Amino acid sequence: MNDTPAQLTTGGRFLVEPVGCENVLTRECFSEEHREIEGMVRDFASERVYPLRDEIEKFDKDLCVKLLREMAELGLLGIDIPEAYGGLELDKVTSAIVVESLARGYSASFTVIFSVQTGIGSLPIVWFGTPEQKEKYLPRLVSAEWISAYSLTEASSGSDALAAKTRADLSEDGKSYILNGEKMFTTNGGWADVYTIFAQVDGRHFSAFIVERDSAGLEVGPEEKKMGVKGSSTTPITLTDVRVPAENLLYEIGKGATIAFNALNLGRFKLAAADLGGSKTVLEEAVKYARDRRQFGQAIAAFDVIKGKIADMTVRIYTADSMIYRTIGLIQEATDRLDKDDPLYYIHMGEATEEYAIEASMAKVYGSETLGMVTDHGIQILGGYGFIEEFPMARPYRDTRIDRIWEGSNEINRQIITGYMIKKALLEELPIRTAIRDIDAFLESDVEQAFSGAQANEECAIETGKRLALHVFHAALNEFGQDLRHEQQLTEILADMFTYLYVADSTLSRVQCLQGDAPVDKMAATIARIHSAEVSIRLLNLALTGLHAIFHGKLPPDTADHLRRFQRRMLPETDIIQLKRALADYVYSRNGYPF
Amino acid sequence: MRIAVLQKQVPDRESPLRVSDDGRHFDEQQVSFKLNESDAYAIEEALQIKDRLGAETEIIALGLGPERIEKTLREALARGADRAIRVLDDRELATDPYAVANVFAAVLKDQACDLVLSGLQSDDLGMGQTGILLGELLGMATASLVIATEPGTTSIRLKHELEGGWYQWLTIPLPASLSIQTGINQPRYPTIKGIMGAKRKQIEVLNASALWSGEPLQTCQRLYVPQKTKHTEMIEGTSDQAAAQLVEILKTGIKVL
Ligand SMILES: Cc1cc2nc3c(=O)[nH]c(=O)nc-3n(C[C@H](O)[C@H](O)[C@H](O)COP(=O)(O)OP(=O)(O)OC[C@H]3O[C@@H](n4cnc5c(N)ncnc54)[C@H](O)[C@@H]3O)c2cc1C
Repeated sequence: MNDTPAQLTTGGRFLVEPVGCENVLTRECFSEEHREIEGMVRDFASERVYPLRDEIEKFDKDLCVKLLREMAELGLLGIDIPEAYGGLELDKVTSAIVVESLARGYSASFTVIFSVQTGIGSLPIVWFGTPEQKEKYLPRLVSAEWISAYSLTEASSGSDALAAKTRADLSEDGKSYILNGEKMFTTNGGWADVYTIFAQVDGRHFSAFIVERDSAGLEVGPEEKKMGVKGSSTTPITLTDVRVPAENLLYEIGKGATIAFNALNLGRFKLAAADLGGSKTVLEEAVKYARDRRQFGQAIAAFDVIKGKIADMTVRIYTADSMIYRTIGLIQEATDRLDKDDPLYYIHMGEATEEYAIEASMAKVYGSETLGMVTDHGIQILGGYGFIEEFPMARPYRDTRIDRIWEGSNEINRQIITGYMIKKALLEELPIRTAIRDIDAFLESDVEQAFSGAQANEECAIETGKRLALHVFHAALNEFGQDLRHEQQLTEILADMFTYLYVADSTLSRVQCLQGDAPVDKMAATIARIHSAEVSIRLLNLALTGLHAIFHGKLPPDTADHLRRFQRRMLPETDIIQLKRALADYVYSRNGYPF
Repeated sequence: MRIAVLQKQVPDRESPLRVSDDGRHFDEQQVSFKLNESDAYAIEEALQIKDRLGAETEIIALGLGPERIEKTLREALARGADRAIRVLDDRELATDPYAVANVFAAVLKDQACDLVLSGLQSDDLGMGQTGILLGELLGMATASLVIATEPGTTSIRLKHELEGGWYQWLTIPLPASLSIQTGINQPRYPTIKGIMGAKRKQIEVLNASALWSGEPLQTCQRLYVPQKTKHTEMIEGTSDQAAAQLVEILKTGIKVL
């Protein structure tokens, strides 16, 4: 471990660096202002959004626009918008805190409307717009005088977004582009005043345009009848000979992919933050219900399996929180290094964000699957009432289902995770080769000497887990080379191993930063123990499946022997069940998520 | 015009309260704190007066308590108060409104305030006395249960609640101390600009012991959760007498009829 090169600044480095080797951003080190903004938005969410959540769900444009305007007054629509155009241009941490806190208002519909307005609906103009475009649109968007939307998807191109068929052709006088085609699933589509629409110039150069609602030939189709987020507008947009002034081309011809992927990269961690906020409120509702509901003469909260579920939800949320804010911290740090006055500032910001594409995709996958898991447990805790609309679980359960599909489906994001790892390994951006070479020495080293401190066991398990993942990764690359990309089930296994390790590493790093021995800090350490133990077992499982795929069902003897040596260091010496009881009791005593 | 507003930090209603081992406090580790509800209306009323009267008006937010109340005062600054004074409660006076009023009177006696606004009562102790006591100590006119204000230059017209759903308009001279009823206005949220700007505003810190050396009139002896007891009452007499007595109990005793 000692020969790990210091000061890597590349994404994915958690895999080759020891736990706690860098300062990670955690909720505990938010600044005073971050906390105050969080408090303000949480008050807004619980006093303005939560009581109106049923009204919002009935599909009420006026109400939603009114709420957006109230948020605009507070400055909440301008976090990522430059001051010159009416925004505040604060850090990414603030924008994540805002969306997380808003999501605690329990209206996924409204969170989505807000996220499009402040995210994909306006950021392409912030990043790539000309001064004239910014001047014209941003002040209207930051005040919610206008509503914005983003149309990338088409009927025949979803995940494969660059294959869009919508065309843009320069008019004969050269003054405008003529757009033809049909876009699908545009959030805010029915309510928007301005759209960012992607089209192929001359049928082959993928590009983006700013298109106003009242353009002749732009037709908003009927509202989709959706499974969830029913309070938000989702429509097709049909374009028939729509004349868009040439100056409304965004950035350059053929740069549509850059615009689209930048928007997605930033959208991913914000979606994760929104899912995190939603998860915390769902847990709170589940705890409240479990303590009130009595069966067999006692509150169901007291049943051991209910405690197990509450503990699982809490562990999942705490670990998601740890990895999501760490990721945002990394992206913020990379952005802070840039020169704000550089005319290419936003282009560089896109590159800095892409550096952490692995972590951002992990946050999207882990965050959305956290809310999926938490709402599913929530329904189960409410029993039959979980299935009934008047009770607080059915809606979030339906609402969150889309989170695993949009912003790049979780399948696509898992491909991104492993795909970037392959690239970073082959280009030697990460010292994977050295790390693999050192595995044997690591496995022979003296554990007690290598790991000390309160989390020695957990650190040992996770550090061994990293080597195990590298071992499987190495074997997969040896067997399949570049073609590993096409072995999607295997790359998913690798993506999951990497993700669990990043989450565990982030959680342990966070717990190590906690100084005090207050009950809340002790419980955080308990979470780290539960999580490390469970992750170790899962990693061993995934490695077994992966290696059997690589070796076509028959492990070579030295691989089998290796596995046993990994296993020795990863088998947890922890009574997970007992720890979960203690954790659940603590969550009960605090009436909800206490961290 | 200069307005002082009392801002008290109280336990959040949602927080679980556990009596601490010494039996005189509650366990603070489990509790989150927030601004007292009616105090939020008091600061909003001050801000609205300032909105009407203009920038000449100065708002001072004032609090007594341990270090953690800094957060509550910063919130007041973020909402638009101009400066704040935080008094460290180094004598544990907070449970006695008379002592609290004396400390605040000592702070305010040289501040030449035209108005002192406080919340009607605190969510934790619910005494409802501090604003009136403070007004008396400072020789100000006082009013309580205030639900509207119209400040003039030498007097203030105000509406306050009487009993039984009645209310009354009256005019009292300035300076005055008003206790504000909840619902008088719609408290605003701090804006992000306000939060960032609060950093530059000043919070002066004083010690309660240096301000007042008198003896409190009330102290908290013991804190305990209301004890529930069960007992069965047998109703004696003939069935008619028993029925009549039962009806009486249902009507006046447990008030379900
Ligand atoms: C309510 C709602 C709102 C939306 N809002 C917007 C919006 O505002 N703007 C916008 O542009 N779009 C929006 N979308 C579209 C959304 O982003 C797409 O639905 C999403 O990208 C998936 O595309 P698809 O539906 O065509 O699925 P497909 O791409 O057809 O995918 C189907 C399945 O195949 C898998 N798959 C596809 N390709 C691969 C691959 N290479 N490897 C492995 N698996 C693969 C997917 O993971 C998925 O499981 C919205 C959709 C919905 C439902």
